[in-house]
Amino acid sequence: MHKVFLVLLLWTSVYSYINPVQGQQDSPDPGVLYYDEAYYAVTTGG
Amino acid sequence: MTNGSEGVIDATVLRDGNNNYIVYKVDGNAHGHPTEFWAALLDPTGMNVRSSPVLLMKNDQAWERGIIEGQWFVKENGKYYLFYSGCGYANDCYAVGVAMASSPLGPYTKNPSNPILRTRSPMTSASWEGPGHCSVVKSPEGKWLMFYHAWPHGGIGTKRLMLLDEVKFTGTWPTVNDGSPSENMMPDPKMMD
Repeated sequence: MHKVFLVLLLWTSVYSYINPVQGQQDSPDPGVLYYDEAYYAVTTGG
Repeated sequence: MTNGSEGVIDATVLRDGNNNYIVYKVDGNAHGHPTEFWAALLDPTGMNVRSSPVLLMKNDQAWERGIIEGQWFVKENGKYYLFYSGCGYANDCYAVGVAMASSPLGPYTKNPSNPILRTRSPMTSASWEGPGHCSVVKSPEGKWLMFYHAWPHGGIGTKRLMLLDEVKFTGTWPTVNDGSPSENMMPDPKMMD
């Protein structure tokens, strides 16, 4: 049972995503760029 | 970059070959006036404006409710796509629209079926509210990804979280998911066909 759960967990973490993609941080107006093999997000504050 | 007493916000850069344009919103809605996007050519340093501003768009679709903002440009298949948001960020009517042009300074034609991303109707307990103010990025795998914010269900005024859904350019107009933010586990864009 644990093995099944572990495989499912690995599969979903590698092959799928669920929103929100950045966790639970306040992130208004996201401006995202892809650069040098990474995504960078800038958001508004205040 | 200023515009008298109206205020100028949401500056972005539209890159087209060797030309860079600054595009900004004139914040007319803050003063009971129409809201507009304007663009001007930048010099090669990007620090100085080299042309007179050109009006790209103003609010004129009912769903926008007098507000357009958060513009982002994508060039795909020889066309320029202007993604933007309307209706005001603190409402469940906040949504994403798109317009298209054959040259960077327009003229831009709005999708008559706007908005292309909106709050699901009817909502479920998992529905995100007021999706908007997006950026659209091409992944190294060649997928177009839309990053945007939305409020959790019943949480307008709390915190806006960053969400992700794929943009598809398969028809005349780009589409996002089924027209509303995804609410379930989605395939990783790296794995989408």
